[in-house]
Amino acid sequence: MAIVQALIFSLLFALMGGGFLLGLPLLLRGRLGKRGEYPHWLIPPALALGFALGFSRLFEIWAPPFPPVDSTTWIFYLLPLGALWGGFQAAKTPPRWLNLAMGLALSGLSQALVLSPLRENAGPTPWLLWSMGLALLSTALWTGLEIQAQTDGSVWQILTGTGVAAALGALLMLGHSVVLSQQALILAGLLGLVFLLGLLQRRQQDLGDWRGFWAVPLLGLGMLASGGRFFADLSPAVLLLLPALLTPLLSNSPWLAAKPLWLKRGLPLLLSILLCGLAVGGVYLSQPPDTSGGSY
Amino acid sequence: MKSLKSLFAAGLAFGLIATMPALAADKYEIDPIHSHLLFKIKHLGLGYQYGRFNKFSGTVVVDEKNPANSKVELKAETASVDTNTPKRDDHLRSPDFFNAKQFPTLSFKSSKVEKAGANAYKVSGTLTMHGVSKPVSFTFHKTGQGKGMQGEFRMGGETTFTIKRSQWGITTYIKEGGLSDDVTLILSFEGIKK
Repeated sequence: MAIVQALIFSLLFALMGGGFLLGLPLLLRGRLGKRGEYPHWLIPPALALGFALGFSRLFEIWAPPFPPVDSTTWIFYLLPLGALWGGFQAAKTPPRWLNLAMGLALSGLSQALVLSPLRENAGPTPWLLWSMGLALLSTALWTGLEIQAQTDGSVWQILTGTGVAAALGALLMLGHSVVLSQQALILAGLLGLVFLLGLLQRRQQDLGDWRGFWAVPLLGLGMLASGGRFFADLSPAVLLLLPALLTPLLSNSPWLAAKPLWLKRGLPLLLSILLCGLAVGGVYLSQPPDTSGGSY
Repeated sequence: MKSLKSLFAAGLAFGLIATMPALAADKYEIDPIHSHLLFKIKHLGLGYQYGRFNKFSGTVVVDEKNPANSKVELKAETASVDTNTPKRDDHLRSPDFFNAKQFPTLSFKSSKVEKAGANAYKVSGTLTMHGVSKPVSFTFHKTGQGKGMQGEFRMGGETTFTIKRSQWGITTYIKEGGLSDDVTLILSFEGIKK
C-alpha cells in the first residue's frame, strides 16, 4: 500500500509540474501564439519537467548525483536533452536527415550511458555493440513514430504511447524493479495528461501534428527498458511493446485508409492493447508460484 | 670481547625483528565453510529480517604486538544474497536494492586498526557498496584460536555493526516505512593461518 501511496504522490507532482506548463498556453491563449494555435514546442519540455518533478518526489532528492552512480538515473539528465530536441523539432521542422542524425545521437548517448556498467562488467565490445544496436532500433522506432506524428494529428497515437508506458511499468514491476516501474508509470501518467489535452484541443480546432512529441517518451521508455532488461529481470516479452507502439502506423495502410474513422483509429488501438496485454499477461502467468504468501 | 660481540649481534637481531612487524603479524584467510556474513533489517517497524551473502572471501591480518599493522579485507558477491525467499532475493538483487548486475561486489578495506581491550580491536575503513564508498568503523572481537581438524592453525572472530543504507544510495522502502534505514551487518568467521 505504501508503494502505491509513494507512486500516487510522485505522479501528482509529475502531473502538476507537467500540467502547469501544458496548461499555461490555455490560460494565456492569444498571447503565446496565434489565437487558437497551441504551441506544440511546449509539450516536450512539459513532459521532461513533469518527469523530473515526479523523479525528485520518488527519490526525495532534488537531483541525483552527477555523474549518476546508478546508470539508470541518467534518465533524469537525458530527458531534458530530449525535450530540447523535441521542442526544436516541433517549432522549426528540421530536415529529415537532421531528425535521423539527432535521433541516432540521442538514442546512442542514452543507451551508452544506461549500459555503461557493461563496459566494466562485460568489456567494452559488448557495451559498444549493445549500445549501438539498441540505438539503431530506437532510431528506427523513433523515425516511424515521427512519420506518423507528422502525417496524423490524431491524439489516439498518444493513447497508444500511454498504454505502452503503463505496460512497461507493469513488466518492470514483474521484473522485480519497483523504482524503474514507478518511473515508467510516471511517464504513462504524463502521456495520459497530453492525451487529455489533445482531446480538449480537438474540440476547438485542428491540432495539426505531433512533430517532436516522441523525443521525451521514447528516450525515457528506451532507457527504462534497457535498465530493466540488463540490470533487473525484465522479460524479453518487452519486445512485444515495440509493435504495440507502432500500431498507429497501420492507420496509413491502404486497407485502413478507406475505412470509417472509428475503425481507422480503433483497430490499431485494439491491436496495441492486445499486444500489451499479451506481454504483461504472459509474463504474469509464467511467474513461478509465490511461496512467500504474496507479501515477502 | 667475544661476549660483547654476541651481545651486539643479539641486540641487532632484536632490533631487526622489532622493526619488521610484518613478520610478527599473522595472516588468516577467511574459511567460507565456517564463516557467515549476515545482515538484519527491520520490516514494517515490526520484526527483524535476516539475510546472508553466500559467497564472500577475505583476509584478516592480526598483529598482537603492533595492532596498527593489523588489516581486514572482505569482498562479497551481491548476487549471492539469500533470505530464504527466492522472490525476495530476486528483488534484493534488482536496481531497487543491491543492483547486483551493476555493482557485483561489496567490499570492505580497513585503514586503521587499534587495540580496544582484551581480544578486541577497533577497525576503521571503507565500505564500498552500491557503487558508493563510505567510512565505517566497528569493534572486532577475537573469539578464539587453535588447531583445526587438519592440524591447521585457525582464528575465530566476530563483529556486529550498524550502517544507514541510505548513505550508500539504497533508499527503497525507507520513506514508505517498509524497511528500516538501519541495517546491521554481522560477520562471524574462522580464518586459516597462511
